[in-house]
Amino acid sequence: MMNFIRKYRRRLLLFLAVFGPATITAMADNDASGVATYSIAGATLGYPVLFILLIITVLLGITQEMGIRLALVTRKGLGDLIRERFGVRVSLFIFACLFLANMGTIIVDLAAVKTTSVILHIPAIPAMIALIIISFFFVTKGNYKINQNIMLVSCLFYLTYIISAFRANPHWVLAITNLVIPHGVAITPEYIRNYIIIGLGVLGTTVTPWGQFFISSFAFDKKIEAGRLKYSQFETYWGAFLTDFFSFFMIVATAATLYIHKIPLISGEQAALAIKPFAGDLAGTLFAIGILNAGFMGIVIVSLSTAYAFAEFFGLSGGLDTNFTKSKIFYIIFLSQLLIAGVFVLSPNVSLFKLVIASQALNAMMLPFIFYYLLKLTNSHEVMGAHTNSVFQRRFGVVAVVVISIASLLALIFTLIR
Amino acid sequence: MLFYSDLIGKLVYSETHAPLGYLQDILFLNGDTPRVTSIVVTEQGHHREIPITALRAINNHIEIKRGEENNTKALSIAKVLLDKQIIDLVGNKVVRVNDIVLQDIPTLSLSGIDIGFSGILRRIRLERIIRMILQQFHIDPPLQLLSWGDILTLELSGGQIKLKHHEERLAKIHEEDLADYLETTNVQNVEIFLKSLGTQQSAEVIKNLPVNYQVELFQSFDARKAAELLECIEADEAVDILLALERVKRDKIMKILPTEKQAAFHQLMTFSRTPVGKIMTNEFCAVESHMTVRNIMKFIRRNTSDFTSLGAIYVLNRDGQLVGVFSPHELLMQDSDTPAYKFMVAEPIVVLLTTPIEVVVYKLLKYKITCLPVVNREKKILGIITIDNVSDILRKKIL
Repeated sequence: MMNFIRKYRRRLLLFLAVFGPATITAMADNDASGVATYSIAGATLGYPVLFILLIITVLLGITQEMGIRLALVTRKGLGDLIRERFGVRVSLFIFACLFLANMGTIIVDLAAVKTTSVILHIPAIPAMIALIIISFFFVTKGNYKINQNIMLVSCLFYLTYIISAFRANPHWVLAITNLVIPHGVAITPEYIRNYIIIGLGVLGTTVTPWGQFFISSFAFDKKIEAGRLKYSQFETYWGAFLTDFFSFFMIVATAATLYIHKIPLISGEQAALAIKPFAGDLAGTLFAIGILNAGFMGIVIVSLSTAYAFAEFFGLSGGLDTNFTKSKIFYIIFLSQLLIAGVFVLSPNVSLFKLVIASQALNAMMLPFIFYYLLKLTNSHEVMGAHTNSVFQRRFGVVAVVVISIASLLALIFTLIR
Repeated sequence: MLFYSDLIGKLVYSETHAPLGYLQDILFLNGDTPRVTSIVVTEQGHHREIPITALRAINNHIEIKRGEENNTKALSIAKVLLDKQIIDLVGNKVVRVNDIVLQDIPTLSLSGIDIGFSGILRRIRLERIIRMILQQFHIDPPLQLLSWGDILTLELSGGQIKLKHHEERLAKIHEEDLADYLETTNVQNVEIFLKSLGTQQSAEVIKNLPVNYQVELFQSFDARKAAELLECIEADEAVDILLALERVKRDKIMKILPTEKQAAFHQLMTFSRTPVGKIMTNEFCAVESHMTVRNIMKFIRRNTSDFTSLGAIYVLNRDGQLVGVFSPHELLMQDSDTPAYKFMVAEPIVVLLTTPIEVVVYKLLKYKITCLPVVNREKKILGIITIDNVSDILRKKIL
């Protein structure tokens, strides 16, 4: 008996030791742009969008697992490997894709902070500036352990979405059954068109290009040993489940209120404001606090991932454990993204609502390129040794690349035709 | 200076001008002088290794002679160097390898690594265009090169590109070491490298370079830059360089210099000195670089029977230019089939006809050698000065 407990405790400790990268990456998927996208998806499409959420969860789990396995087996990041195996051209191209997609996400995150701070009666511009400064100090001055704990604690804020969803009194049976088969709505051409474009947005906000880079470099920063691969793999699946567990409640909360009552969303962040009449003041306020927190998480993690990727592609020293002077370029890239986003959000002529779905769909459109190289690397015996992809992973990956490419093309065509 | 990325993808032709395929990779022997051993040519997915000894010309295209043996143990640039991470002594990431610098004097070998942004631009074939655009705004982006001498070659065989020192020291290499390294490359290489240094550091490096390099460099600098550099160099060394330059150029530079410097330089230049031409001797032995030890021995026996002494044997290239030197002892230690270029010391120390005799003496003593070749601007040997020739002057100085 004692043996059993000892063994069990050892297992738990091992799991906790590697706990972090996958959960943080997965939870940061629910950044403010994520919340906005899920809200728009719930409000515009109702429960049927939950169907793709389940598939996306599997895709997230599988691709994140590839990422962490790649990092632990090779002791290199995705950026390192792309540069070393595919050269400068591919590196520059992928970095450009990543930078564009990330800029979009950071801008949306910051815009969400701006909008929600109004709801919470906090002055918007000082709030944004404060957030940028806090983010910078958080990353430059903090050490790895503290940062990770802050990130993990702020994940608790996501519980607010569950409360909001329950207060919205949703049709639970319809919600659950829609996970398996989409039904319960009138299927019109307009609906299908929206389903593809917004669905792509949901995909792009859940399975992100930056997530692929972040998980490998973060795992490396945490110095997880290759021997602990199994625990890390388990954590990635757990993280994927966790992130979409919360996404589920976000979609349910808006589907139960805004979609049912046919109230169009003018802005993703205004979901918080819009659900108040149906779900009560508390739910609305909690939703707003959740978005504020999600905005902070998103800004820090997404801009960090660009900097990580840059450091890997071009071989500079970088990472949370090195001090400021040593990885100057790393931090300059990190900060400049925050500043660009700040300037963008403060200029009044930008339609931020359109930007939400557009930026997340852009994220999704970059995925086939990144998956292509991720698959090439994780399929390669030369790179992975005994840890290459299983047949299922390989096939699932290829199908995902094809399906996402087709959906991206369709979304582009629909947008242009309009 | 050749860049790896400029060569890759070029068509390789046989002697009969039949295309053999595209250049895919270059293999080299790891070591302090990483000589290129062979090139990998690919044609329709089929790779083929061709030894470098078969190489006839590298111009717009690459031409090779027919069939020779393969070489093992060689490392591949594409697999071991290009795009790989460079780390410093304690394992910190420094930068990645963006391109490789090759030199073809005396034999094709790797001389350094491009770690700068120019290297990335060159790889995507945009360097020339972007340089042209930047030059419109009078910006001349410096090349960031790392010399081969900075890399721990032992680690390279283990798959790591590790620097010999800590990251911060990169820009603070000792100037004499730098000059030593630069001596083994050609003058264009030096010029490009100097662009990445500040004036003071450039001056320190130039000071330690051989005279013929100094002359070539200063001929290419405009008068203002030349004057700036000369101000940073000690007066006697500066005068040596000035005297070696053409009169017009020298006068131009002198005009720009501050008055007190002008006066100091002037005084030194008019110093009573014995012209080198008067004391030098034409009793020297020069051989061609491809001659084998056996032939050189024969040559020496036949041609130097009337010599009073033989301190050094000079090596000339096909154009008759001085490219190396070795001592009789070094000669005796070699196998009789070894060609001269394999064991000679490249880029020997030289003086010019205009060099003040004090400087000649100084050099003989500084480098602890018994004779110095006197060359003209085309690097052709005019004669040599041995320690015997200057013994009178030495005696006068000491006694």
